[in-house]
Amino acid sequence: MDYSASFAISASGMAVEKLRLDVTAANLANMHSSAATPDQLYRPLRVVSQEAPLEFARQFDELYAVAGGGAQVVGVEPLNVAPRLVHEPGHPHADARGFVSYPGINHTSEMVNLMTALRAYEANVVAMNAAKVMAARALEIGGQ
Amino acid sequence: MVSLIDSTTSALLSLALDAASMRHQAIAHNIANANTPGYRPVGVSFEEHMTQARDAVAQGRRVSLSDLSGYRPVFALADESAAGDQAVSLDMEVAKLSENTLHHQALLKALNRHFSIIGTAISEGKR
Repeated sequence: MDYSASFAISASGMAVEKLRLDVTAANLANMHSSAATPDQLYRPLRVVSQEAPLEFARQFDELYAVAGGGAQVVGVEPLNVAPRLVHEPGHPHADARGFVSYPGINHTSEMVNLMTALRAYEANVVAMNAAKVMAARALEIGGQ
Repeated sequence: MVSLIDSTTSALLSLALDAASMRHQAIAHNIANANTPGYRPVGVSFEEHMTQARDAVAQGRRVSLSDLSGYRPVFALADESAAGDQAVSLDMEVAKLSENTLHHQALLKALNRHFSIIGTAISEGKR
């Protein structure tokens, strides 16, 4: 059995979850970034991921080994949320009424995304370590 | 006379080891897609095909090598109804993963014992 497929599956999952963490960090970092015009304003981002289908290889006329598999990133899409308006008349980015618009970042959902991605990343690490143990033990077949 | 070298024991154990590694890949695939919306979990079907072999052993008959050809483990998709936003629960998958790793190690131990019996026979019981 080919163990590199197991490692590749777990690695792809880790890559997706790491990107999710990066994007959440970028959202939180830009929480207080204002802009001169509304279209320059930072918009909260979300990672869209999908399954990378398992590929079945045909060996001795049997569906057997697997190639591919895991998760993949489709894109990082901006969310369509209304900006958060704060009354700061002296601010260089304030509009005619004295309001400054900040990105409409939802703290709670960002933190929930952060924790979900973190736990999923940890689970992928556990799966990869288990594959390592299985491969190492298989090398001991026939040993004393 | 039971053949030791080309026995059903090692053939069955190899099949079960294949099933364990495939099951590991399926669980790793499920964990990698824990946050994928609309994902359908995959599994491996193997043990349910073994009823014939189990019945044979229970009735005191031998399982012949030719019976084993149809017992290859295969990947199986979960039901359509299982798909959804929360199709994979990480805790269940990690629990299945540990169980599978332990099972794999038990199979390897059995294979090692089988080979050490052959070794004992070859050395006529001497060390």
